[in-house]
Amino acid sequence: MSAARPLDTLAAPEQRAQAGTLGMWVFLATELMFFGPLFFGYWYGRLQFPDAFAAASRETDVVLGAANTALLLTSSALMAAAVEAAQLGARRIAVRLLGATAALGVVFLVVKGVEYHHEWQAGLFPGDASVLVTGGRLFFLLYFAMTGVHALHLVIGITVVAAFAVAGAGAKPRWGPGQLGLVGLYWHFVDALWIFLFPLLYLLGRSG
Amino acid sequence: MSARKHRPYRRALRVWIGLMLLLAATTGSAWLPLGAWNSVVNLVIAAAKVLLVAVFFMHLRDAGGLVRLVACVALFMLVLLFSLAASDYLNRHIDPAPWQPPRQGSSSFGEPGQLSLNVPQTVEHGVEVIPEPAALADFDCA
Repeated sequence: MSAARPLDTLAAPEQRAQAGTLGMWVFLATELMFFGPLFFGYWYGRLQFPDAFAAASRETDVVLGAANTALLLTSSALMAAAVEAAQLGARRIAVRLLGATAALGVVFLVVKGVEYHHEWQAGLFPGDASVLVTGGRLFFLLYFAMTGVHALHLVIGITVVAAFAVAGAGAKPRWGPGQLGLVGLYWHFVDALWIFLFPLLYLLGRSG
Repeated sequence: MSARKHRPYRRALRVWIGLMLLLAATTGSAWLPLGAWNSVVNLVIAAAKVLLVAVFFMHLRDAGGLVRLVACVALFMLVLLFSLAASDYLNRHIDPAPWQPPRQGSSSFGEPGQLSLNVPQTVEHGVEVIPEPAALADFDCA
């Protein structure tokens, strides 16, 4: 017997790909449970302090928020195209698209950092120096917690996508389209979270 | 020569255009004075965007039943946990505690001859027990 890799003996390649996809979806389901309490906290606070939440939401920078949403949606489209390119065997195109995806993620984080900086200077960060009262403080506590945890996920996503771009650039690729598809699932999940965060945190109370 | 049904990247481009239009719609509608319907519009548009991402970018369209089931069960669990948590939180009320803010004119809460006249015994097993709000209300009326 040769020293076969354990996974090779486990199942047919197609079955392994299915198992990987299923495992990633189960992981994303646990991620949803992880974010759930933050969304519940938001919902509770909004019912409890509707006016304070609307007023606090107007303090966020909606232009930068919308621009960041567009950036992230575009990065997701590029990621989907990268997975498609890898499936078609166009690895060079896939690597370039991965690089662009990671770059858009970095730009998102820079914009978010500028927002954080403005909000810190405006005294919106929860704490003794906060200019806000109960409901508004709760809003900005959730704002920083939700966007912060989202940014952490994005950092992980950027790292993995950049690593795949580097690992795919050589003469012999170190990943296949199946593995890249799993990275894509994670990236799109982080994008989907932001799709909900944007209207909840930035668009509330704009017409009031 | 490959005989593909779709030209490559065409679908990703279409979905991206759809996402951008929905982003413009959700941002623009936020300034319309629709009252509570602003939130409804925003959430419906967000759900539509996530559905586009999940179905096309995350390949739920081509996924097997098992993967779709996991995605649906995750959402169902979230709804379940929201409902259970709501049964607690929606039945809570934020009332100011009776000893906040400090009462004017009385330096000590348990001063003899003041509160102890009408408020029930406040010492149990050597530990000072804060009177119930109802007891304080009775005291104020008297």
